[in-house]
Amino acid sequence: MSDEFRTRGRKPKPMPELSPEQKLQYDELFEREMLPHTSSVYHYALRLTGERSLAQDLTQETLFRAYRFLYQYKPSTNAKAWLLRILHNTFINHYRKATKHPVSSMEAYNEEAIYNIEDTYAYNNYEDPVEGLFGDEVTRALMQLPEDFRMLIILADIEEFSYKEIAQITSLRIGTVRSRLHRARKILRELLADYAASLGYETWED
Amino acid sequence: MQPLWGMKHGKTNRGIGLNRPDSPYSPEECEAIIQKLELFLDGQLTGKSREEVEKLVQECEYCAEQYHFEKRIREILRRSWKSVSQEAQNIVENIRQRFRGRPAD
Repeated sequence: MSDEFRTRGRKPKPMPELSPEQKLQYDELFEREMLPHTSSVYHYALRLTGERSLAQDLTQETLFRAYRFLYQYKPSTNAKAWLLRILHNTFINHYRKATKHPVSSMEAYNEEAIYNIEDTYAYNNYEDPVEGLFGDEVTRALMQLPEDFRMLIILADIEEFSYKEIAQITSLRIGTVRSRLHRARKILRELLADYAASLGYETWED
Repeated sequence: MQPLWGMKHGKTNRGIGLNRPDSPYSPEECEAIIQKLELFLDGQLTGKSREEVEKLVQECEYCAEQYHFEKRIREILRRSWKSVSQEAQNIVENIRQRFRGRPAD
């Protein structure tokens, strides 16, 4: 794993003492490389949580952490992936624990468990009647996926990260990214069968 | 064995493209082709395996239908991502402002 992604698995060093001049450079680096991705961070957070206020908190928390650990970031590398990795870890460690789905952490899976996922997951009954966040049918189907699947679809289909980058962001092995994405799309296809029919695709059922 | 995507949520199994009953491929073959189509669309294939998929999409109508649907889902997801609401833009801009200058203070 490349250096710029190493933010976990060891105790982070405290933020280094900075001279006023260094502090200025530090702030500039943050503004130049991190802040432009605020929108991506927020939208990823919004689709992870399905709630505006949580997404806002998560985005701010991510940026705080990014600032704190910026000295670990190699300038001009993949800032967006670096930020989303922080977001991902923050979400797993601090937010999901408090949510309604008692799902073990991503790392706890093995390959076999992925194929028995029906036993461990329920679909989210995501209806979103009040917030009206997601207008189209495809995004609503996306929101019905279990989070572990949903985040991979977002990273692959929307953000267009490579499998390798997704593996770095999520701490999953590339093989797991590939198999879980495949599984996620199967569910999505099934959820979208009516929609596909409405678009004129020939569908079948048994 | 029941195909892996036999998710049960009150509906019968439904399919698009390759998995249709009259498809010339066995369920296992369909499964393998769909997986290849996904890798293709994810930009994970190069050289020969890439050409192989391109050929399949040109020559097999079931593969083509599957391919276009997969592609369409991705396009719709990307579009909805880009159509950021004014409200979301305001939230993002507020957060950005907060962090501009001296975020740690």
